[in-house]
Amino acid sequence: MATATAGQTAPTDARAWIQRMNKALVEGNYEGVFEQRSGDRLDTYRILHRFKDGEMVERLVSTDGSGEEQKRKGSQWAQFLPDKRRVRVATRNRAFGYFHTLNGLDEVAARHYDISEAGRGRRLGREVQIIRLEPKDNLRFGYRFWIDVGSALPLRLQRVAHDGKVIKEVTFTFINAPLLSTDISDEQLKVAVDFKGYTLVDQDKFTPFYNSKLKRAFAPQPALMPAGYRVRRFGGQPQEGKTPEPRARFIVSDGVSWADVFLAPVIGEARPDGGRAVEPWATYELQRDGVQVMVVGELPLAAAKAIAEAVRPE
Amino acid sequence: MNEQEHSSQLSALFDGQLPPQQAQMVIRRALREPAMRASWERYALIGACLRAEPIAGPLSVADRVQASIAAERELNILPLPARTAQARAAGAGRFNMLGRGALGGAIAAGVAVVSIVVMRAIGPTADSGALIAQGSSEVAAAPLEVAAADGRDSAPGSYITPGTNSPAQPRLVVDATLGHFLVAHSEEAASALRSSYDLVAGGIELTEDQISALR
Repeated sequence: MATATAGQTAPTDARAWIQRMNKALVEGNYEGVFEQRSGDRLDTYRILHRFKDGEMVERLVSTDGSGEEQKRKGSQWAQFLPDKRRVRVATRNRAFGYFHTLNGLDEVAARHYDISEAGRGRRLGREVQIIRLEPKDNLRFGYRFWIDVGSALPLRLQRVAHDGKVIKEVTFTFINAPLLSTDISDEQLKVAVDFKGYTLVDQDKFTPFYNSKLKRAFAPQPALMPAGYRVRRFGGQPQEGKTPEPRARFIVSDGVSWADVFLAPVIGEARPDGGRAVEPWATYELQRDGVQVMVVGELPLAAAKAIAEAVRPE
Repeated sequence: MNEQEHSSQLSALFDGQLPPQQAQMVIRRALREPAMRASWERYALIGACLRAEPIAGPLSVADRVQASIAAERELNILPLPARTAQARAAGAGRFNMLGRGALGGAIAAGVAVVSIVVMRAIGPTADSGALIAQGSSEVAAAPLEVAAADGRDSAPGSYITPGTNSPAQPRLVVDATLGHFLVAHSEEAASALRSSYDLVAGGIELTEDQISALR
């Protein structure tokens, strides 16, 4: 059984482990099977991840008999749904794939977490380094990682609330890594679903990065954001030669916890401000001057609300 | 003694690595302390499943775990070395160390009896059975621990513990507007919403070129 001895070392060492993990998750090559407990759901997926010639290709296969698959190729994401005979596609500009990385964990972000090395253990026959990020307040979630010393991949991870409750857990039950990019062939990365005759649904139409129908440009205002949260980057680029339209999507993060902020014109009757925690996500919606502000993220509801309220006309 | 040390001792007991006196102390403590009994139950289940032993009681959790193993095999995700005859024999051998080791038959019998008694006493009720089916209880975490334990004895990358899926598990239900945002936000949300969120409007038939590009 995996055991670990408690220990404390300099946070910089723990951050170095996180950086190694970030790199391995994106630029590594691996295949594995993992179980994911999220809220009251449990799913098992097979994943194949390849980084070759600067492009990430990732295939995710559900094992619940539905035949669902997802594939990410560069910024193009697709989900194949045999039961509905549909393929959903969307643009994902972020660098990471299914497993999100903590790229923004710098010294400033680290002020909001207690980051520590918590000893070594063993999982799947491999030595793992346990890293903990405990949130210092209830505006963010913490993480615990069991990082494979050899490949730097997290063989297990937990997302935890301020009170210690585990909100999400991912556990690899099989891992083959590190691999060379040549070890994962194009053939292995092809989806097994025969989707000829399926209907294609472009999700970007519903959640564009820029939207001319927005009468005013809104943005999260730094001075109003909850402590530690910043707009990290903008999704997508305006089309060259076109008059810039108001931005309709932002990513807000404290370096660890993060959320998407969507802006859309209000259609139909006005709705009251409000949010809900749909574990492991929190959503908060409000409407201002004909603009719907929707925050969706892996963070506490209080943070989602504070971020939504920080969105004001530019 | 903290929880981690208790866990470590139980693990050692089930691996047959504790001297007799210490083993008896651990067994006595397990009978006294609910948390340790819960760990005991998990380890007993793991052992029973690896040995393919039926477990007496109103609900056979082992059967459910084994059923999930069988279901996983049918999906042909990956070969399951733990289910081969050789692997099963190896697994059984490891757990049989209790019988062959210094503790001898008496302790082994004691372990078995205590396991069954403990399981009956604190075992799952019909309600908790439902929870196990949804994979949200602590007991359902047992297969994960098998992975940790057995992975130790196998070459890195060569072992798989079958995962679990509950076909009847709850799916996220949201309105279409929120569905758009959740799907745009994450792959995980897209998967969680796959049966409750559907879009027909705006869909187009795939062309050959699109099929080729997406595959």
